[in-house]
Amino acid sequence: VSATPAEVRRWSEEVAADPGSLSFLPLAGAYRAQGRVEAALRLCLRGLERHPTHVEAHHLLGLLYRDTGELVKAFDEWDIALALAPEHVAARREIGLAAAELGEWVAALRYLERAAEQTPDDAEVGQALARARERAGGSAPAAAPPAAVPADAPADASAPGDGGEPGAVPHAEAQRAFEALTEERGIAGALLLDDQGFLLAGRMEAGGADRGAEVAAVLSGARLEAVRALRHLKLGAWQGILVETPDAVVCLSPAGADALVAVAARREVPTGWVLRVAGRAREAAGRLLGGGGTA
Amino acid sequence: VSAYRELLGRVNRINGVRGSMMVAAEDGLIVEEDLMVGVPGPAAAALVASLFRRARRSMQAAEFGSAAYLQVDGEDGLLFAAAPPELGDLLLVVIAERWVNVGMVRLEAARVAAAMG
Repeated sequence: VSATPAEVRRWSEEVAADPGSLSFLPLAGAYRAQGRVEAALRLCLRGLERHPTHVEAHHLLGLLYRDTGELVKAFDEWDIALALAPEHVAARREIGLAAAELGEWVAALRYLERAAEQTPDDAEVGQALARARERAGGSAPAAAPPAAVPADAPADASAPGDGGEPGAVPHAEAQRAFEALTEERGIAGALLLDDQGFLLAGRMEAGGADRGAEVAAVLSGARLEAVRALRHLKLGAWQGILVETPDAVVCLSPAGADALVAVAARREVPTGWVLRVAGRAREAAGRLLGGGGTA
Repeated sequence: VSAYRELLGRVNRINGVRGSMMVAAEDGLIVEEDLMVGVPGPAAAALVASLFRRARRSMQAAEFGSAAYLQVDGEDGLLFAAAPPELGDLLLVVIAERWVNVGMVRLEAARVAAAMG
C-alpha cells in the first residue's frame, strides 16, 4: 500500500524535527516507491547512523543498492539483516535471488530453498529455485558448505565455472610451486584458490588425506565475511586472516585481485614462519597468475 | 561493574585497542561490551561471530581441530576473536588499530581466559 501525501508529509516533519526518529524508514520506503532512490538512499544511510542494528533499514538499504545496480553492497546489507535476524524471510529471499543473478548457483540454492519453505507462494523465488536446481550441480561457489564439495574434487587448473572456461594458471607449474611449499618442515598444506573458491593448485593434508577442496570451499567464504566485517568497522581493505587451533595455524591472504593463497602449518611452527611461507605462496601466485598461458 | 566488564577494561587499556566485547559465538549476540564511541557493536558482533563459525567449520573440515583464535588484518585496523575453552561458547572480540601490539592483545586475551576459568 503506497503512502498518502499526508503520511509522507508527517514522516518528513518528524525526521526534520528529530533526526533520530524511526520515521526515516517509512519515509525512505515512500521515496523509493516514488522513484526517488537517491533521496531514499541518503535518508536510509542517515537513519542507520542512528540505528545501526535496525534490521528493516538494512533490508531496505539493500533494496536501494540493488535499485542502483550495486549488487555487492546490496548483498552486504541483506547479509547484515540476516545476521541480526536469522529468520528474516525477505533478506534471505533477496540474497537467494541476488546469488542466482550472479550465477552463484549453490549459494542461491541454499538460500532459495529456505525462502521457498517460508514463502511457498512466491513465484519469483519458485522460478529462481528451479533454475538454481538445474545449474547447481556443476558449481561449487565460495559460500558452499563443505558437504557440497566432493572430497575427491580434483585440483584442476580449469575452474569448473558456469561456462567451463579454462583457468589461466598453468596447472602443472602451479601444482609444483605449491607442492614445493608443503615440503617445508611443519607445513601441512599450501593452496592457490580463485576468487570463487575453486582450488587451482596445491594440497592440504590432514589425517593422511588431502582436504584441500573442502578447506578451499569454506575458507574463500570466510574472505567475503572478513571483507564485510572490516568494511562495517571501517578497518580498510582486508589483508589476511589467521586462524589457530590447538593443532594448526592457517593463514589466508589475497594474491592479486582474483586469487587467494592459504597456508597451513602444524602448531609448533612459529606463526611468523607461517606468514613468511604465505608470503612466498603469494609471490608464486603472482608469478603464475601474472604469466597467464595454459598448461 | 560486571566481571566481564572489568576484564574487557583490562584489554582496552592496551594502547591501540578501540574496544572489546564478549559475544555468544552461536548467535552473535553481545553479552558485554566496552567499545569506543562510533564502533557499531551489535552488527560487528554478528559479523565476527559468523566469520568465526565459518573458520571453525573450515578447521573441522580439514581435521585441524577446533578454532581457538582468529585474527583478521585490515589496512586500517585489526580484528581479533579468541575462543579459549575457558570461555565456553563465548568469544572475546577485540577491535584495534593497525599498529597495536598483537602480542599484548593475545597475552591479555589469555589472561581473560584464565580469569574466566
